[in-house]
Amino acid sequence: MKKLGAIFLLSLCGLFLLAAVTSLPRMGDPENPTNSLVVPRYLEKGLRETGCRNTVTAILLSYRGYDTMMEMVVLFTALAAALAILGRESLETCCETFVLPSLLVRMVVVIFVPLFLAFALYVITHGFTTSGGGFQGGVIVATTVIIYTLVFGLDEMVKRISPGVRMVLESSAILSFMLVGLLGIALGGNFLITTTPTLGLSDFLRRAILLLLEVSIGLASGAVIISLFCLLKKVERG
Amino acid sequence: MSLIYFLVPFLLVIAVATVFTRDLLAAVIIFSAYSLIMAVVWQQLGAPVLALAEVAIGAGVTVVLFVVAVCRTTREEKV
Repeated sequence: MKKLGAIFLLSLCGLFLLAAVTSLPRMGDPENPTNSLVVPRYLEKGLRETGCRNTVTAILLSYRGYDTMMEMVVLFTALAAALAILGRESLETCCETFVLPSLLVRMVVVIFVPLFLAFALYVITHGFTTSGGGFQGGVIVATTVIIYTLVFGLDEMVKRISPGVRMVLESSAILSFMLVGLLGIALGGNFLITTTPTLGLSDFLRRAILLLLEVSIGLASGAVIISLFCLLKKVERG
Repeated sequence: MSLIYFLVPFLLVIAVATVFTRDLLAAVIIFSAYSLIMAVVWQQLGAPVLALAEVAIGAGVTVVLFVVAVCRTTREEKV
């Protein structure tokens, strides 16, 4: 009887959902508002209205500024939850002997880590002209640091990027992003609209603000991922 | 376009293999291959931003986090 009730309730839910699906606009219909209004607006006016040289960046950093900010908040919240459960690693607890891998592995990592970091810097700083951007660049930085940690051990990494530095990076990045966004409102536009040419900011200033946004996104994502990795490594050694 | 017709069936095979592999470490490594192929598909579909993110996150960070997590588990059944 219980099972029958469950089946009945589930099929009722399914019917409601299907009814909702039928009233949705058809997928890929050129008459949809997203296709008839939003896409032409972004493609035709996006570059001029936002002052970016790349439509994807124009959408991410100007039209959908709230989305990008909330993504950073999601990352931050995930880290906060992990920290609340596991606790941050500290310099005192790291005193275990670590067996270094062979000379070959170490030399390859020593040679390639600066190149990876240079590539990450390129991806971050060219975010508003080419594809890529803060988030991708930040993750590349994090991946590089993780490779370094896997080869040289957690102690060596924590000595170079201390938990305190990461703590500041994680929070200040999101705060700077929000401040730039609110600056747009203060200047009389929408959230994150500081990059638009119509507000009268100079070209150099707009570029600087865009760069600041990209760097802050990169720092936030990179620092959060490095911290998550450190948490797991700390748990691993017990 | 022809590359996609070759890659997508391959993607399906990898996805099924990820689910049915009993060894967790092997499953994670197959999953990273999935992300790598997916990145090529994104690039072929004209989404380089997404491809870059997929390579960095899917094939890079996620796999490392998964491996570190798998190292904490113990094996209770025969593979």
